[in-house]
Amino acid sequence: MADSTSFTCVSCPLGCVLEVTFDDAGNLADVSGYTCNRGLEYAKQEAVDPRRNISAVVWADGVLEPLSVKTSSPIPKAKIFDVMEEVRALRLQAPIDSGQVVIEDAAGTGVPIVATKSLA
Amino acid sequence: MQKQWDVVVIGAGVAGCCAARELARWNARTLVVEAGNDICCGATRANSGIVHAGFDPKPGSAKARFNREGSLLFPQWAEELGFPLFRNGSLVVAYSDEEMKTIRDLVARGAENGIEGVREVSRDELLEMEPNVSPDAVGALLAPTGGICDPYHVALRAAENAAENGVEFAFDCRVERVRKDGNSFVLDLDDGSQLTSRAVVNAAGAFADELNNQVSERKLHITPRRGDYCLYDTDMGSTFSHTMFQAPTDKGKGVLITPTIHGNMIVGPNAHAQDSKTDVSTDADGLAEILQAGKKTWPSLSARGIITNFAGLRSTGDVGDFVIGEPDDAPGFFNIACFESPGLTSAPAVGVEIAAQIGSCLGLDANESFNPRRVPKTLFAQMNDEERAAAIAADPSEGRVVCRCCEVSEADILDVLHGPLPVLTLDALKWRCGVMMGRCHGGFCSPELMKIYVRETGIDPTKVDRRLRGSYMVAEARQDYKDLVEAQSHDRTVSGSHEESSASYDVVVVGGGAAGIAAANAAARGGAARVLLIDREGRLGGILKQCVHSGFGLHRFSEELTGPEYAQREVTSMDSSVDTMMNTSVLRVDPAETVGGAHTVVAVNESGQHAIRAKAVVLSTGSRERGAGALNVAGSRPSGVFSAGSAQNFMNLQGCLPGKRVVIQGTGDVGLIMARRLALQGAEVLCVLGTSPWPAGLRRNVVQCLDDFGIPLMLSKTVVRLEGDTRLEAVWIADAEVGTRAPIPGTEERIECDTLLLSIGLLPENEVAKTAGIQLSRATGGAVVDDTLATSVSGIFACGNALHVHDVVDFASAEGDRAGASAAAYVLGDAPASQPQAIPVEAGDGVSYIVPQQIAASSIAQGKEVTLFFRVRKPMDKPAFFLDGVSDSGASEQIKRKKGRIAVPAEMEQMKVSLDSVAGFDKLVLRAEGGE
Repeated sequence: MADSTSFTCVSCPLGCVLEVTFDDAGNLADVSGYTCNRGLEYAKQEAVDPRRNISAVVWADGVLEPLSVKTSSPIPKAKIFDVMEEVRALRLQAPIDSGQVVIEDAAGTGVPIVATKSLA
Repeated sequence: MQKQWDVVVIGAGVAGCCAARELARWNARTLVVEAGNDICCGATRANSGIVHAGFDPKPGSAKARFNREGSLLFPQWAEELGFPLFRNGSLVVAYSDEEMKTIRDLVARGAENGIEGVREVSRDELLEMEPNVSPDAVGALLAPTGGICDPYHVALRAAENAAENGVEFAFDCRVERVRKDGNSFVLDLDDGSQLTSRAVVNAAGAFADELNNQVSERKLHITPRRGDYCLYDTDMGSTFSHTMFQAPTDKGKGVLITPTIHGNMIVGPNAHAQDSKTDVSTDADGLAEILQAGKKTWPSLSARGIITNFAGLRSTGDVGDFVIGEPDDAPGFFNIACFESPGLTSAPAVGVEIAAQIGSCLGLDANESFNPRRVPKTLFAQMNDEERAAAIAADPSEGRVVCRCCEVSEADILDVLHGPLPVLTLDALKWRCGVMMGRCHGGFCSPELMKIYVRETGIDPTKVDRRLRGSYMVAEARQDYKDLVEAQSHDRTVSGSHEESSASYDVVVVGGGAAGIAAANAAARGGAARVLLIDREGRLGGILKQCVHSGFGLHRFSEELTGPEYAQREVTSMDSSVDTMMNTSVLRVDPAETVGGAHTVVAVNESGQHAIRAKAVVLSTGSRERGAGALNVAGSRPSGVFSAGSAQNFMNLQGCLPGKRVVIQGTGDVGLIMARRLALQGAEVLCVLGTSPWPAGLRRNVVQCLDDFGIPLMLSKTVVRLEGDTRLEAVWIADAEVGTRAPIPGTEERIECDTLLLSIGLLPENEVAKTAGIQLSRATGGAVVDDTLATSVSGIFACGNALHVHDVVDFASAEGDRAGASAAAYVLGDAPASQPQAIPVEAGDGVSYIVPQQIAASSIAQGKEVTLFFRVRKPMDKPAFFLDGVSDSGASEQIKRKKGRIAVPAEMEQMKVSLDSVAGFDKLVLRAEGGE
């Protein structure tokens, strides 16, 4: 008996409802409901290894306005709070350029954290 | 603080402050002690603000005497102390012949009390004066000397004048006990210390009975009577010009409706006796009661337009009159007790009387250096162009507009912060200079105000109180916050590439958010040689700067960016010929028709006031958040209630955590995004509530901001009551009826929390558009535009959230592109100036609004393709959208049909239409059909 599940695509604001079915061996069998290639890719990923991008702010010495940062690619959903713990513990020193890596490997995910703005 | 005084005044309400001002005329050591952390913490803060003419009190009573004398003194005090007073006149309206008899009795009483000008007016005369009064009215009493004032300002100016003449003030200083000791009084304070004084003025409001009873056998008993009020938007301030009372009946005095001195409309109060002398929580029944009662005066009255509700306590004694002066068994102890209405009006006269009695009692000499005048700073908002230019030249901080709604400058704020009385709370700033009092409820200015307050006072940001002691604003902030705001203030300058103060431009773009940057760029690329982009902040990007989450740019850049990244890309790609003017606030646009030739954009910054000539103007002024008043939530007024955007500013631009246990009302995107931000930053987000049965935000945000974090989404729920005297302690929520969204009684449930975020919608910000006389749409709140984004004023264009609230920033940028290109075409003469043959476009069934609202004749002639933007009224499955052309005969013909899979109000729909197909129709109507 094939198993199926559905979820809302978060790739863009459209929010398509994606349906995935698994075969008897638990392998991904079919995806429907997507309206673009990003949706298809998202569905495949979400079905087996849900991942998210997160963003946050980090205090930098000498500047009131915090530095905004993000994961440079999606991290496993289950690792969100581990990554945030590392991000929140971070203290940076200006100047920092937008795009600069501030953590090489966030919480063992292999995903770097990068600055999303510049601080002079 | 010294311990020995000639006179101690207990209580800094209007009674205590007016007495202090008059006591300053004596050569005496006078101290005012106040239990609260500001003047006017009691009845003075929350009342009707009426200067009563004096026809109402019982002849021969203390109320009758001091009302008459106070009413006569008010104009003199207003002039000497510099507070506003407006004699708008009072009307007491009768709605039956029976009530008309009461009116005639009151007219006679007015004559007996010696009040000038009180007379009866006929129904016709009444309707002539007040066309909005209920048609059921049969006649009225007119008291032309009745007036309105701001009670806080009456007390403030009196207190400041007292302070400038040597009277001292101590706040957070409660008198626990008073007792006679020989020829003086000993006052025990709540910090354990003692004061002695030769005379005491008991102006302790609701607590005056307790103090009196400690020194006198002539016992008093005060019953606090709560009165609820609803305060309405200034849009409704001219509904009535007079103060509209209702004729008293067996059932009570009714409620009044009056304009306020600040141009709002106020309705209230009812009267509910209660035990507590401090609890000023409103309740839903009381608010419903005053709205119902107010309909007698104005049948159209409803909750629409309410900014806030509040309650005040009147100190009603058991003797039916004021208790003024010394009890016969306690010489030297001067009561201003049982000081209910008309206490405000009477306060100056009572102050004069009490000071005279104390002067003779203690044998005091006159204070030869007493100066009766207090000349307050002219507020920025009150200045004309010349005064403003001069003020900024003298003090650059006058050119920094901190509060955009009420136009309060940093100089206004600094003047209060360094004035004669200490500023211990942010609300004291609000009451004194009007900051945070506008339509945005402090959403925009409170984060900025926090920085200024901390910088000037050195108080740790987590210790900054909103109102009462303990009503903190933010739960966490970095330790070096204060040092950093100081450092920041030093490197603030008017950056940007614009220099001259009266330059001429082809296109001036007002507002440098996503739409404005795009518009400026498109105008330059479209051939406008001189383009200027003006923004109130130090960096371009508008609200994108605080939107640190990703989700922007998929349409414009084909990749997902965070807000700061999106803004940076737009700024980097901007045409280098565009001039910018940063940290600059546009006050108004004088359109070409009124000033001739070109439009004039009037703006201020630290370097001065600028009148910039512009052949075309693009308004991209963004949106503001709908305020708490829209919900008319009952209860107390604790700190911890934020608009989602101001909480976002505190978190993402100042690194503060607003609170730790958070409830979010409103399922708009900002609320959903903030739920995730708070959860990520370590706060506990208890739930997100929405009044409608579907979420207002994007579906993907419900998934990735709530579902991912296990935050419950509770639909058809609404907050009905706030609890907490200082900081928010709990909210009460209830089921919301489908359709009306009204709370259903009996479904209330309490949730403990310290923070409530409101994300209940955005409203286009169009204060500048209004100054230019641009026609606005009721449906969108933005300008009415044609397909070139031209407004009703030739040469002025609108785009972005100022035009209509967008769901996706990419579309706001695209709209900016079109507005900028249209402005350039207009300047180059490519577009005809007036287009009388425009075809209106209307929202039909199932569609809440459509932009543009008309198609320009020139566009039809060119056979262009245009995109119509619209929103559906409710969620639809498999919707179909129909564009019909209606001819002058009324016949309707389908021009285009478009199908979709799903449509929700949160998401903007688009339809492209070739204008070849619309020629010849009188109007176009777009409607939507679909399944539930």
